[in-house]
Amino acid sequence: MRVPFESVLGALFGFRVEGLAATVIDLRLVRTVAALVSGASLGAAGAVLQSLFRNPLADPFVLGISSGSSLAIAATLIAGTGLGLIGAYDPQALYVAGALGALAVSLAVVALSSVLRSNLGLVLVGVMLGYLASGLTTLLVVTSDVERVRAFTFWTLGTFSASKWSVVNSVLPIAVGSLLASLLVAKPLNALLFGEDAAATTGASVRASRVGAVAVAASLVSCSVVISGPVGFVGLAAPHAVRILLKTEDNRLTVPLSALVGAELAVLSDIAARTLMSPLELPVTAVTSLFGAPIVLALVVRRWGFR
Amino acid sequence: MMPKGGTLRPVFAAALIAALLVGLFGGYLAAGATGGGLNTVTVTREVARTVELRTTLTERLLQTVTLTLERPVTVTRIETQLAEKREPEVKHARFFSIERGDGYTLLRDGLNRTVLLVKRGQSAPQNVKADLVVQVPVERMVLMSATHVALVERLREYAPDIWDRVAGIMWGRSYQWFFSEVERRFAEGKLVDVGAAWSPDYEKLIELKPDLVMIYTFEGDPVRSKLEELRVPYVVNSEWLENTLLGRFEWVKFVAAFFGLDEVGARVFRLVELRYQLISTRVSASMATLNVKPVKVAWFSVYKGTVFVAGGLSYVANSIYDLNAVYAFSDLKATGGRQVSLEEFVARARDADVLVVSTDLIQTLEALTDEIPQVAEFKAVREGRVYRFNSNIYQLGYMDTEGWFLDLASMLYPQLFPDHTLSYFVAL
Repeated sequence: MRVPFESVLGALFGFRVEGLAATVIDLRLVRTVAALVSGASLGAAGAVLQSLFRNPLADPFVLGISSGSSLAIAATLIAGTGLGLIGAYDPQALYVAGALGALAVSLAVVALSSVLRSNLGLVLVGVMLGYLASGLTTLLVVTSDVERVRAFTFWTLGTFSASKWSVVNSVLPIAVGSLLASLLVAKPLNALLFGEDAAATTGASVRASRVGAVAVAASLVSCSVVISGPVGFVGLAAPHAVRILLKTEDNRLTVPLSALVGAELAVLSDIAARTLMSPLELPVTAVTSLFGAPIVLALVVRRWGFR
Repeated sequence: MMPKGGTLRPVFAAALIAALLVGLFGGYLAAGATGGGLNTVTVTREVARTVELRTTLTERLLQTVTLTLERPVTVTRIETQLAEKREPEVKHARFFSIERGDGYTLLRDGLNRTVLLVKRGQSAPQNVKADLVVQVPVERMVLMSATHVALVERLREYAPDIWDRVAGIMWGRSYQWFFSEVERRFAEGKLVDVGAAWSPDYEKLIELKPDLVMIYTFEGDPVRSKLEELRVPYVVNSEWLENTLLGRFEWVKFVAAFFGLDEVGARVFRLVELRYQLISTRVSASMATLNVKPVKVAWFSVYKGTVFVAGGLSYVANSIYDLNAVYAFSDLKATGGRQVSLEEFVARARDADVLVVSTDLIQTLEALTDEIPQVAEFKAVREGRVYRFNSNIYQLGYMDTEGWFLDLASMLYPQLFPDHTLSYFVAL
């Protein structure tokens, strides 16, 4: 829909805009804020996890948090409504369930990160938790009716179109706090870059840094999952784009800048998703990849070139 | 003078005759061109109408043609002709057809495959080529969808033992059945659940020895290729792709053919078509006399803020047009559903007179406003004209297509149907 430029400016600077324009501007504003927060969280979490696991293919969902969230949503939607525990279909309950699912897996992962000796083990645990959750989810989905499955599919797709102030506002403080905390874990992460043994010789508490990094990442991913569901690609690509552009591995730079690039990518993708084929809307997860993959490819070629 | 005159007279006479001939011929041509042309039009129309009113396909027509000429003379002649024109047996559905020959019926199914139906015990005609030959009536059919079940159930009124010819239903025990007969048969073990429609239990399916499986299919469907591989005979029902309500329901003829109930299928459809047209006519006539304005409708579902609307060419939209109403997404060139952005939905649906939430999961206005807070400001919400699907709509609402349409008509124009109670929709 077309909204006059001056109305948009007016609304942004606090002037009253009447009627439909106000509604539309509000709708766009909330999803833009959601994309900013979610994209920044994913970018920062991706940078932290790639650095911690020293694995360039680690993405924020490697900890199994989005799978846990999906499982909780599936259980609430399918078992919950089937057993009559909650109303037939209650979006608020589903949001809460999604958040609780993310929180539960986050806590589990953080606890394990403190107990487990190796990071590889942690990755495997995260991945296995993910498989466990998606297996249970499939089981729930197969045994329920078509319409519930359809609803569930939408609930587990990443999208910013769904954004609501009530959700964004309650997640925002946690997300901002976690983003600030990610700055604090950047320096200890640098020490871990050369391996845990090397880090230990520098006097850093390896265990504390690892638990801290996992906690920050889990919190960021949870915020993003609650706001927008699992939006792919952003968390994987943003840190790479930053490292290639800045030619540095220094987490004090890559973590905050990945947040910025992630936010940027998410907002651009969202704009593309809702305008490219308007009035139709494209799934944002498809757009992030379609948009982001060529950019990262171009950066790779520019940085390293061909043999 | 005499000889001159003697030579002139035959020339004059010849010229006169020639002129007369030319005049007559020209006149004949002219008359033929105008009168004849007009006449042909009338006759064609008459023929068409006569055929439509009768159910037999080919018949001799005795036509009375009246020609009015320039002079006040009326010539009446009686003309006998063979009307070779056949009424197309399928009028609304676009994805199947029926062709009748001597002792056989040739169907085209949803994939445009030819299916030759031969009466049980008779041999297939040698000169007719077909992708599949089916002996009718079938004895052990398996159905894939609740919509197939609904059509069989509709035919049951005229063929009480029709379910004896069905052996299994996919997802049979997963559905909440609104057909007590089907539920009863499952309880008695006369019907077997053959597993999920997207991944049936093939062992169980083969064990049932079906003589035909009715499926719906789509690009890359694994079930169809598996049936092909297992050499299980199947036909494709594409009722869900039709873009009109009557087109969707006309598949009752397709289903009926396999049970040898062609006549019944045609009769049931005729009845539904007539009732549909009556409702549509009643609405347009009443609107003119009572000065009722057309209403605007938005038809959508929403999960986690993702809005799906019915396309502007869908059966939903066409039903709305047939009730002289306006559809909020009429410019969306799609026969199925499409995802639209929330702002586009808000912009178009806020002034709609009627909202229809096309799901039975969202059951309260609170759930709807939780999904889309802006809906609270919508005209339809303020005026209390928001409806949702009743859970029975997928089964009973399809079986009773005319009832579905009547429900819609009464939702759009409650003043025209004051005593109507909704069956397949529920007010939020």
